[in-house]
Amino acid sequence: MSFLENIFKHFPTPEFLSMSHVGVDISPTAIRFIGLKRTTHGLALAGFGEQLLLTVTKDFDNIHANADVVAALKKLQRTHKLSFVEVSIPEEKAYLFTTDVPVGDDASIRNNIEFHLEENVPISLSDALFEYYIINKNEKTNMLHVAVSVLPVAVAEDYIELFTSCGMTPVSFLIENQALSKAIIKKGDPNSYLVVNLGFEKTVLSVVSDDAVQFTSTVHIGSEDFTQAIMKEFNVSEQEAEKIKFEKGFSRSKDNESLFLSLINTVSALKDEINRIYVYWQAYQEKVKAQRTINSINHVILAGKDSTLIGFRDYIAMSLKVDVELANVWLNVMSFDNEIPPIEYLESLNYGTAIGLALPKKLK
Amino acid sequence: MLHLLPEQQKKTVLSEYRKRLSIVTAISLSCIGVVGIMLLIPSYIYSQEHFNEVKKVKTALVDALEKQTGDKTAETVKNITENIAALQPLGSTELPSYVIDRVISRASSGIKIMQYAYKLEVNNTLSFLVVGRADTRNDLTQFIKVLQGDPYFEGAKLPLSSFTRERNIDFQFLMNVKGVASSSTSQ
Repeated sequence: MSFLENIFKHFPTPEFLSMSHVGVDISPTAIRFIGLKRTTHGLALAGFGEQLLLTVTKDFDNIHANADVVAALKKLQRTHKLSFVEVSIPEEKAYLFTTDVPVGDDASIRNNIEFHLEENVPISLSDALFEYYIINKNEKTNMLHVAVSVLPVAVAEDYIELFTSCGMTPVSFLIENQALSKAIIKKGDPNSYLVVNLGFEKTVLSVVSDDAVQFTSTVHIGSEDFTQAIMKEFNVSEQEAEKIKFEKGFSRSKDNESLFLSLINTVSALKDEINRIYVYWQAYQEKVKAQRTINSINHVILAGKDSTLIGFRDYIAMSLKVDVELANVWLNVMSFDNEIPPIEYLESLNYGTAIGLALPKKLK
Repeated sequence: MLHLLPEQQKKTVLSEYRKRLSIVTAISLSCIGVVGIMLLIPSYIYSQEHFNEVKKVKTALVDALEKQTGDKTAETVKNITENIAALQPLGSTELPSYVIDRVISRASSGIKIMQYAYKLEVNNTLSFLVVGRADTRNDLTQFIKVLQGDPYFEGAKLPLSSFTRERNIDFQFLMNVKGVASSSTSQ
């Protein structure tokens, strides 16, 4: 630890001046937030909360006019006195691409990205906001490999209006899976991971390599599909189907045969998508290996509460023949050796995105 | 921070930050000022006490000096007053210089008057001492006779010891200036 880091550890920037923010994740069924604080031992949980939405939000267009979301956010703001927020943007509202640009200063890198922006995203430069992250540098060609996140201005303004009307100030936006990867992958880890974020009505598959999300794909299969399949098979209510799902899961046994069969189609479709991305990345790795070194995917990380279904992890691992592990959303926040998080493990999987958003810049 | 934000929102966040920075700076400076003042208070009290003590000592010294100077002045004034008094008219009109002039006018060329002294007595008569040297006994005898013959003077008489020498006779005699007021009228 450097001298300056030591000083800042013992004399941290005042809370009033650091304008510390909370991470807010708007999912189709709930809004969750996490606040982190610095302590002399590292980060600690400052606050968290969840506000369930009355209706499932399927459309994130014009979100500032969604009364249900506005009411939920206002309630969270009032209850927890939220002020500055970093917000996740759904995968389908933003764009992500990687490109090579000549080595230069920030302005020249931005100019080069601007020049190629319209080749990579379906919006004009004037309608786009973008940020870049340098993945690595090719010494031979003197080119930088960068990951570029692009957000339409209209979407940003929509979210700003939503949060401002609820008494909060957005200080940053991050694409959902970028935020999640910040929480579940150790900062500076150069390995390649396939992150499977199993959501309510969709699953976002991301390839994270060299500490950056380099590829994402959305599959419209989510936990809702598992529940619907059980409801249909057993003719039970949603609550009962949810209970059966987590109690019995996706394990193949004599007394669980009917449940297994009811879920197999959905899970199999999801597995195929995961496999497709896995194969694509391995092929891409082969293709570009002459230009740069990319690690092959040897870990799949499952995130989202439904990824803990009994047997699901084993099924994916057997199919892909790679290590599959459940996400640890506290990886960059705290060590379980020192502290026990106040959120149950299953619940914490729903907070992954919010935790990634709440992390201080240094750990992102 | 400020990731994927439109320019306007970035400005809003930055202006909020600057506002907070100004507030923190102002509060910090105020705290430093208050702490500084609090730390300076003991020194101020000490120096004020010291100043007051020095002031008291100075006042005392000035008073003492003034008193001393005042005493000297009074003495000087007294001396001057006495000197002036010596030159003041004897009685109401006569000046000592007149009496001296009159004595000198009675002296012949063989008489050298070296010293006068006079004293105004309480009865308003003037005792006049004349000290001098006569060239010859005759000059001295003549001088005494003239003075004795002058109604202005009274009691001019030489001691016999003054006649023991023939020449260069030191003499000294006392006489009274008769009723100064009346004598002045005779002038």
